[in-house]
Amino acid sequence: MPFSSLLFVHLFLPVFLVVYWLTPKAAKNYAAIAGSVVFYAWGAPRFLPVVLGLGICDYVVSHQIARSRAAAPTSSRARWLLGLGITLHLSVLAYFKYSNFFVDQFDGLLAHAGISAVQWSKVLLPIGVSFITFEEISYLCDVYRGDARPARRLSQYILFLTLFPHSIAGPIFRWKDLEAQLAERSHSWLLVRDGFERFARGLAKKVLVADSVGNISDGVFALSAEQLSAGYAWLGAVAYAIQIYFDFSGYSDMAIGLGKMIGFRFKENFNQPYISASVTEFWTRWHISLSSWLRDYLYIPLGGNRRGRRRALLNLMIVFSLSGLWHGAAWTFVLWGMYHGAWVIAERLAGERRAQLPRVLQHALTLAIVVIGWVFFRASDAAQAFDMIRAMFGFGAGLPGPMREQLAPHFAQVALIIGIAIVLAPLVKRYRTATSEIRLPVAVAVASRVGWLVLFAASAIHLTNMRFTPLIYFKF
Amino acid sequence: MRAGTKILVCLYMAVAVLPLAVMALHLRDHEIFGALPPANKPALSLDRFRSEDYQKEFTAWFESRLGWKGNAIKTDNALLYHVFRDTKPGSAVAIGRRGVLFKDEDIAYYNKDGAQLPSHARLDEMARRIAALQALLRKYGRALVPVLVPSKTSLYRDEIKPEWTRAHGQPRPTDRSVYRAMIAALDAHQVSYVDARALLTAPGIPREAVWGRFARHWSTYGACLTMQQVVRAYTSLTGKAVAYECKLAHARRPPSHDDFDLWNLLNMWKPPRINRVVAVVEHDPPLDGAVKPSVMCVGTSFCWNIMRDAAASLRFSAIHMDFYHNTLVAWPENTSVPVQRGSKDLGDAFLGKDLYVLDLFETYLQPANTYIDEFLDQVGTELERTAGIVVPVVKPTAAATITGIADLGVFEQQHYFELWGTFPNPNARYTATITCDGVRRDAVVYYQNPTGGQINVHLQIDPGTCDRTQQPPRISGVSCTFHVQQGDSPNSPVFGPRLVCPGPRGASGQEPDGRCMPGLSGC
Repeated sequence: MPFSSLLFVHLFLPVFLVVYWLTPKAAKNYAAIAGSVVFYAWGAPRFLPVVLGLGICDYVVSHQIARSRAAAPTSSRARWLLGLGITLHLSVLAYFKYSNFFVDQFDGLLAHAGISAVQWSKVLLPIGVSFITFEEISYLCDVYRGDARPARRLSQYILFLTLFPHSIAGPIFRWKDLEAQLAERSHSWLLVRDGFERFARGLAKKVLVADSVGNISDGVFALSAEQLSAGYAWLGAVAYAIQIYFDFSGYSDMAIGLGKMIGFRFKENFNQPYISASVTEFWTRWHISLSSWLRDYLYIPLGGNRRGRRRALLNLMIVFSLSGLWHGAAWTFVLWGMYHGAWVIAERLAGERRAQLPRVLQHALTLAIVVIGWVFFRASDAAQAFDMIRAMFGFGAGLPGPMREQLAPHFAQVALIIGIAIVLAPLVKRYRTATSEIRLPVAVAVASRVGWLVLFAASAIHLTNMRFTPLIYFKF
Repeated sequence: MRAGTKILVCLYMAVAVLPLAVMALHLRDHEIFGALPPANKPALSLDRFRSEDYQKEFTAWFESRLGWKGNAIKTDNALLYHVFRDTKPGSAVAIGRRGVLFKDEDIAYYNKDGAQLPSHARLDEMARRIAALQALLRKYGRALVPVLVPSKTSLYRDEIKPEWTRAHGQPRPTDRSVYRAMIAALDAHQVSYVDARALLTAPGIPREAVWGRFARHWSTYGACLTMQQVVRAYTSLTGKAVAYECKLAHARRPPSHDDFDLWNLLNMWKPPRINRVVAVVEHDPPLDGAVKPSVMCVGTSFCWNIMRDAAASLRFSAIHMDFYHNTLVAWPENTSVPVQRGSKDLGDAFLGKDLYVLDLFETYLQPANTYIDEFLDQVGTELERTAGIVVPVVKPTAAATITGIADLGVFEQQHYFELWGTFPNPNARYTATITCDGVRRDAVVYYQNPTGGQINVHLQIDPGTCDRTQQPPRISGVSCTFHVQQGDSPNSPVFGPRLVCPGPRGASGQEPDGRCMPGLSGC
């Protein structure tokens, strides 16, 4: 049940909110758990027992770790327990997310040797498994490191894991950030209003911009290599860059908004990533909860910058490659991760020399690098990605192309232009030398509030239309 | 501020809850065109929930019954159309110039090339099988008449926007590899057929009368003109004459009329204005004692207007439609039953028809198998089995070859030609057939000089052919193919097609545009 579905917007959300708000404060967590379990069971009924079981395991293991650490801070038992917990979670992730991929690779090797493929039933990927795994690992690590206390109540930990606003596409929560809110949080009309506005913003980003622009990128990525000209290739790549940002950040906005409606304040997951002046900066602004997780629970444990320059660079490549693999079980994602890793390493090696470039050029270069990188992310396989990139640099065949209207309907073109304007507008602020903030008149503030409401209604209406496919032969 | 905040929260909740409330209260919604009947509420069980079937069916049920869905859809479509001049993504309707509407798959067909097109070998094989079935039925005094049904893009080519056009130039790859290739294949196998594309795009044919600007299909008038040619082909194949006239009239129709189906599919507020006066057909009553064959149209939704017109003409005894060879529709009751594919007992409705109209819709002439192949496989095989006859294989040979013709013109309802070429057997008696606009006729050989490479023939022309008073005016430049046969030996390769005129060019012949000159007697 995606947030941008009619079932969620017009049934689950209003019913859940009414039940939640009417529930006494002491029982609100249970109402939230009930709602989250229903939400999760709707999308992944067979995985729900696994999530709940792992939650109970974590709860027990984390208390054992804390007890061992309390008895002896350098306890090997605690380390052993941590290792056990992490192995368990990575095994679950490997099975549900990567087993099909590994079996496919193995089958490929067997085929080379003339051996028939392994008998294997495809494993279905449960929603949110990547996010939940990272949250569980960070919880155990934080308890082990003493950065967080183990959950006092199992119900709080189960709510932390299953809380439906982040079930589908994050952000990646950390127990230590939410622990206090899970125990005690305030609710207010103001917070609910802000939540709705944030949700409306996210829904509009997803439904009105991302899905509209998606028509362009889907059309371009569906072209054969022979049909790709430089113009089409860049159009497709830029459209996808806009689509993925508005899609992903829209989901994060919706998650943050939903959290506010039930009293939670989640951390931001995006911070105007396309105004970055370097790829390194991009990764401090894009999917912040993931990049900070990788820094804290992978890069630093690998040695970070502490083991010399070469090792630091190797660590970076490992982190980015694994980050790619985390995004999806395919070589294109690994390539995407390595591509970004290579640029971050190049920036480190360039050091201060890069800063001597004109600011505008730094932004333009970063944007181009990121846009090209998205080609790996979106392509169905590496061959398509390289075909596309070749075409972007003028080496496409450019045979008779697609129909313009089908590839880029007018509304999609407008959505693309609006999307580009929105992501690049903050650059103006970056270059502006004025020190004082512009204060908006009250009327503008009121109009913007009404505007979010109108956008919410418009998104719901558009969503309804997109879910309807009329048949000309319905009466036959 | 506090009150304002509460009001805003309530308004957000209202937007979220409103469709649910309207659904629960069964409040009236605006009707939307093309909507399937709402889904039924699924029964909940643990197994179905675990397999996620319940979730899918519940979602379908909820979405199909969502309150004010019609209003939402019309509002969104109206915004897309009036602000952006677009239809929604994935819409079946493409907007052409001057508001002419096209079906998306016709536009897709218009832009096809390469591997998307059927091979010549495939079309040739299809034509061969059609020829065999036509020959078989002809032996029993019955007829199969294939009709090349045009795509709307073949009639309204000038109204397709450049944005909807791939840069293939003209003629389109589909013109060469589908339309012309199919014609050539049918001619090569000497099939009597109706080229409805040539018929409906001929000069003088009022385009909007044969095919509405907002319609996916041809009008009843377009269907009638086609049926008229089908009936002529039937007469030529069986010798049984059926008079079939199409008198064009106009009538005002409601917006729900089929000629506005694409317009209705837009589902929007304030749609573009339509002229609700549409072309209709008036038929004279049939003559007493006239032959009334039974008929079945096999194919796509283009059969609907063919069957409607056939029913309105009162010239057929029983009318059925085999819709994509998966539904059998009886006319005029409009009752339908599924076709038991693979069944050997198709029944008299299928196997007992005097006339089969096979709809070869050009958009659906595809590389892969379609309803045409299924029909030929099943019905063809059954007809052959029940008749106990082996389908003759028609193979062209180079034994005799026509290399040129001379059109001698028309005299007393007979059209005279000289056929030039190689006719190897000097003592043989040659026969000739001429297929004009898909209608095949045996010609009379009134002079033959095989060693001199000449055979002269004449054939009866239809009354009204090239008649300037006929509405719509019939072009004189009909397209004919020629072949000769020596006794029972195989036919010569087909010659043509050639545009021919019922009179010599010049003072009493043909205008440069193919029309007969004014005052030409009999032309």
